[in-house]
Parts: sequence; structure tokens; C-alpha cells
Amino acid sequence: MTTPNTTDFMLLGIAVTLGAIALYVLSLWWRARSLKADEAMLEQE
Amino acid sequence: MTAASPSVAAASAPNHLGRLKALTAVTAVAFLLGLGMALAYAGTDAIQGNVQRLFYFHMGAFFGAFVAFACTVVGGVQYLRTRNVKWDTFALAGVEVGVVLSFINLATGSIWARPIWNTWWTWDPRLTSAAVMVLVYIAYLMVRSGIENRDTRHRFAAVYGILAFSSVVFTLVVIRIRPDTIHPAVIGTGAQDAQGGFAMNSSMTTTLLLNMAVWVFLLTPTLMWWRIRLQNYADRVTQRKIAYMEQG
Amino acid sequence: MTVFARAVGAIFLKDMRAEWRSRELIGVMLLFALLSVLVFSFALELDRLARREAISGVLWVTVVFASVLGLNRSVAQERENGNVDALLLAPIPRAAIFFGKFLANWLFTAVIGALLLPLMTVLYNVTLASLPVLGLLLAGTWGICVTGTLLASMTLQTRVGEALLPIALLPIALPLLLGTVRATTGILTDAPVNDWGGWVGILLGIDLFYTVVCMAFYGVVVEE
Repeated sequence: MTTPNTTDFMLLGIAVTLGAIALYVLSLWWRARSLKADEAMLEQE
Repeated sequence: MTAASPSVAAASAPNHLGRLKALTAVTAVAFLLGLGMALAYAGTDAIQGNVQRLFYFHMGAFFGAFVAFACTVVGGVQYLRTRNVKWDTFALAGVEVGVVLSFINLATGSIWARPIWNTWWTWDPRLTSAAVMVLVYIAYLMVRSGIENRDTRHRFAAVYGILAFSSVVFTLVVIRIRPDTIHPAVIGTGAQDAQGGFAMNSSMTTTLLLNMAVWVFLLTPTLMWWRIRLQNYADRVTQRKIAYMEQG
Repeated sequence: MTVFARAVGAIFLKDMRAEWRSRELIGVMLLFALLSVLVFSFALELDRLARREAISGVLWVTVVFASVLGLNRSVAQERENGNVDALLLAPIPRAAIFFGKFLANWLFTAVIGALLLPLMTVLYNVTLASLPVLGLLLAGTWGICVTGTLLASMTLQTRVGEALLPIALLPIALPLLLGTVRATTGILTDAPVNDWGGWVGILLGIDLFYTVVCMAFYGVVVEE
């Protein structure tokens, strides 16, 4: 029995896994950035 | 709950950025090590080929999500007992991280199923309940965002977060009690109709254990900790805004 | 009779009397259920075999959405007149208030479901009107109404309001739905009890669990 070539699916799965974690981290960073902008505006006024 | 205790401490004492950064570095290294082991160390499954390697993240993500959602239950119960906001923040972090991890769990499962089951998705009890699990926690976020009063929001979130855990338990046990699922159980005996199960040799077991440990004990607490910091920051900014409004 | 049972009985009777006077809850639920069943019968032009597989889904989707309508209405009525505040002032356990209201909601939903059974038996030519299916109906609506009564008290206080109840309730009720639909299909297709009996056990277990949890939480949800 030959082992099927399913490497493409493996790569897709790894890309989705890393992508999801990266997107979440990015969303945390983005929210922190907009909070910083809010804070800076409060300080200005 | 030992894995999550540092995050609780962080919620009350916000000045642990150094420790959090160290934990993040450790997590990143360990995650890459787990990824490397899954790719290079673990043996290739003779029947399924390389796609079987996704299984290490599939399991890790599920149990990471499980721990995160369990943190939501602990946070909810503790909030209702103590009425300390830090427990609500803890519960909220659990939900967000859990949703991300269960999405990874669903996505890797679906990508694995395409070559093995010959379909991206099937309405099997286990797959359905895993998908609904994600929806329950998205509903949690919606319930939360719809309530203006802080105290009411925290109370309702605690109640819903505890109720929502029933979907996690259901997803976990449905494979054991219902023989008509086709989802394989790799640990223990699974359903008789299971398709795509495989036997693990020792290199696979080692890789699985390492990846599970990384996802459960490192990745989940790290992400939750960052989320808790963000929430504490957001609360401080909101308070300053309120103070400013009252002034002006 | 204990204080608890008396309080439950009094709340239940109060809801029954209110409904007897207005008849708006049952009317809305019944009309919706009838329309839903008719729409499904147009939408699913199925052959006989496929119909037997799909019919329990039609029944349960209809019952769940009818119960969502009823639950929203029943909790909103209570809030509009400020009744909740008066009830909460009374020296009776919060769990008793919850249980009384739940029993009333459950009865309404179960009556609607019970009326649907003979109707669907006629419309779809499938033997739904049987004692085992009625038993499943009682068990399934129990869990839906017990979680629904609690969640409606929460979602009606949010900005989204009534629209949030199905979103919050459906995923929580899914284990119940999966169990009831599988068991109903098992009964309709004359499968051996071993094939679907497990689902009934799960259903009853979840009912018990949700009842205990929701009764315990009601006090937290209504506190001021």
C-alpha cells in the first residue's frame, strides 16, 4: 500500500492554525493601539 | 487550574509585564519545538500521509479551548461569590481565547477530513456540537456587549458562561456515548463506525504529549494573560473617560 | 404542603389566570406553529421515506421557535406591569418564583406541541400522535423552557432585547434538540429501542441538570 500524498492539506492546516493565532494577537494589538489613542486624546484636552 | 493561576494574579496586579514577556518567549519557543516535532520527528502515518500531522494541533487546540472555557466557569463562579471584577475579566479572556482555539480545532479537523473522509464537513453529532460550541461563546460575547450596566453585564456573563460550558461537556462526551458518530477516538475505544482512526507509535505519542502540553499549559495561559492586560487597560481608560465627562 | 410548593402553585395559577383572560400568548404561539408547519409542508415536497426522516426536525424546529415567542412574551408582560418587582418583594424563595413561571411556560409550549402532533399526523401522513412521542415532547420542552425562562429574563434586559433570546437559547438547547430529534426519528422509523434509548437517557439527564442550574441562577439574574 502506498502512502497518499496529502502534504498540501497539511500545509493548509498549519497556515490556518498560525494565521488564526496571528490574527488574534493582531486584534489584541489593534485594540490596545486604539485605547492608547483614546488615552492620548484625554490627556490633550 | 494551576496553568491559569498566573493570569489571575496578573488581573489584580497589572505590573507583571516582564514576566508575561518571558512567558510569551517560552511559549513561542515551545510552540515552534512542537511544530518541528510534528513535522520532522513524528513518524508519517502510512495510510493517511502527512495530513495526519495536523492531528497534533487539532487535539492541542481542543484541549486548550477546553481549559479556556473551564477558566470561564471558574471565573463566573468566583465572580458570583466575590463580586470582584477581576474574575469577570478572567472569564472574558477564557471565552475569547477559547473561541480562537476551537476555531483552529474545527478548521484543522475540516482540512484533515477533506482527503480522509472525502468531504470538508459532515453533520455528524460530534462535529455539529463542536460547531455549536463556538456559536454558544459568540452568543456570550453578544449578550455581554448588549448590556449597558456594568454590574448587570458581569452577572449575566457569569451565568451564561457557566451554562455555556454544557456544550463543551456535551462535545466531549457525545463521542463516547453515541455509537453513530464517524469521528475517531484516538485515545481509548471510539465509535464502531469511526472512520480515519490510526494507531500511534512512540514518536507520535511523544509529539502528541508535547504539543498538548504546549497548547494547554503555555499557549492558552499566555493569550489569556495578554487579553486580561488589555481588559484592565480598557477599564482604566473607560474610568478616565467617565471622570473626564463628569468634570466637563 | 411546603411554603415552596405553595409559592410555586400560586405563581403558576396567576400566570394561568392572566393567560385565560387575555389568551394572547397561546394564540400567538399556536398561529405561528400552524403557519410554520404549513410553510414546511410546502418547502419540503418530500417522498414518503425522506419525510419520515425529516419530520421530527420540522416538529422540533417549530416547537422551539414557538416557545421562543411565548417565553419572550411571558417575561415581557411581567416586566411591563412591574410585576417582577412586586413578586421579588414577596417573602418567597426566588427559586419558587422561577419554577412557577417556568411551569406555566412549559405547559403552554407542551400544549402547542401536543396540538401539533395530530395535526402533523394528518398533514404529513406520519404517525406522530403516539404516547412515546408525547413523552419525548414533554421531556424536550421541559429543558427548552427551563433554560428559556432564565435566558429570557436576561436577554430582555439587553439592548438587542427580544431578538437575542433565540441566539442565546438555541445553542444551549442543542444537546436537548439533538437528543429529541434522534429519538423521535428512531420511534418513527420503528428502530429498535437500543438504537435511540440512549438519547432519552441523555435528554432526561440534561433536563435535570438544567433545572437545578437555572433555579440556582435565577436569584442572581433578578437581583437589583
